[in-house]
Amino acid sequence: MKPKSSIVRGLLRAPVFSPTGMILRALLIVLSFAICHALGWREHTTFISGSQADVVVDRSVSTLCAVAYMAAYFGSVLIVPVLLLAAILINLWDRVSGMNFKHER
Amino acid sequence: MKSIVRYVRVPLALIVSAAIWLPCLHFLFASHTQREQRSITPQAEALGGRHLELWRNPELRQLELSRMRVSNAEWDFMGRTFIVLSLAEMSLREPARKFEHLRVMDDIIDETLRLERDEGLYFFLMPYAKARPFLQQPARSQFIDGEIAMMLAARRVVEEKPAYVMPLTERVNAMVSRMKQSPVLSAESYPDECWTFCNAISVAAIKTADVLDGTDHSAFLREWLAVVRKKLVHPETGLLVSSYTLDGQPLDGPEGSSIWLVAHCLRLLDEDFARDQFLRAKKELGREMLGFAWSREWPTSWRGPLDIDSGAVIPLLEASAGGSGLAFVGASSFGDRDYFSKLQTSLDFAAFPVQKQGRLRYCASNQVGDAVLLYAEVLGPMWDKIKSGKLR
Repeated sequence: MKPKSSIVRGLLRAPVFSPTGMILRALLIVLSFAICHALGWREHTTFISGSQADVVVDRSVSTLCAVAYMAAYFGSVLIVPVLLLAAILINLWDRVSGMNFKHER
Repeated sequence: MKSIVRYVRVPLALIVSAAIWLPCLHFLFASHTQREQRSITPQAEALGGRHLELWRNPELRQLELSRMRVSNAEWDFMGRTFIVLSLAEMSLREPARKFEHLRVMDDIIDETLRLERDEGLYFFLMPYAKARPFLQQPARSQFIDGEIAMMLAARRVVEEKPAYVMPLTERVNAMVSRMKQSPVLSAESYPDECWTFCNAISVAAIKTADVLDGTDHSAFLREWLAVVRKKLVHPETGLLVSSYTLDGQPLDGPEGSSIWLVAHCLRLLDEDFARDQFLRAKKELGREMLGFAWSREWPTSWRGPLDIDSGAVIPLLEASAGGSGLAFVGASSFGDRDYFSKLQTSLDFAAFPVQKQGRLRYCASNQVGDAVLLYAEVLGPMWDKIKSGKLR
């Protein structure tokens, strides 16, 4: 069994477009969404309608929070499933074809 | 060979994954609620609950209104109109809750009349209304008159209230006499700026007042319709323009934030023309993709300046927050269930709903936006009653 630190190191070293790299990016996107959501930035998306979430918060700060939230949200529902599916497909491909790009993992 | 496969399999896997995922995405957000003719959907119940809470809790209401008034005082006013219209429809759908709704409607109407009286004409208008004088004097805004008349009329459709008879009659007489002074039978909402949206709500209110009080403006309404069809149609699309000067020179072409509601109001005057406008709007502005739908703000043949009513317009898709919100009203009014349900899917996907304690609001929207959505959910019985001419 690998020690935890080497698993994390392996994850971080994985190339972006390897299955492990894709899973890692997917996790990072979901994590960023969870953080934005926990910070309550969903409320700031009211800028889409031209309103302000909070009249005491500066409009540009509010817009920045909204844009960050929306990027994380749309990343989570649009990009994350694609990355995870792609990681599965690549793994399947490698297994079925017998090709092994181990250094990419 | 192995190195080619190595480099091709990743983009290929991403393309195949996207091709699998994106067409399935709408299933996550699709609503399966069946909208019945006479009942209130859970969605409407939850949206309505939020608005009733706002009008029962002054602190919460003040917070919500101040957030909107920072950007646009008009929204404070329009939010009132759409809540009153929604509550009227909900009362007709659920007579058991009529008295609860009537109380809120009366509170809203009374406070709106008080604010108009105490704060003046400009309280609910954007600051540019003061930039120059109204051409018609004494200054009045068809935006204010039309929607207040519609609120009074809607309340009286649900149940007669003698105290509102004279205010409605006076408002209708004022509107008609001013409209008759213009070559396009329209009155200004802002100085030398007439809006089809405001004049369409006004004629709907005049028609409703006729049914309520037995007055007869049918000749005027026929003439209004004839003039509008002749002078205010955008040649490339056949849609009504959004705004024009008092003498009928078009200012803005067709807009999503206007035409969907205009078509809904026109149903009270001419069902065929109204449906024609709805179908043209759907062709020119309605867009659908992968189970989602939205509305553009402008047709491809005309692009106007981005204004506060349009809301944000998303590049590439050209999806407009204002246009898409009002497209719900059009789709609901003309019974286009497919378009309505796809709009709903987009709303649940991209408008960031928050549901707490049985109350629903959309973060990407605001109070007036949510009130429009509520109205789209419940509209139907009131227009049917007015069109039938039998209110009691």
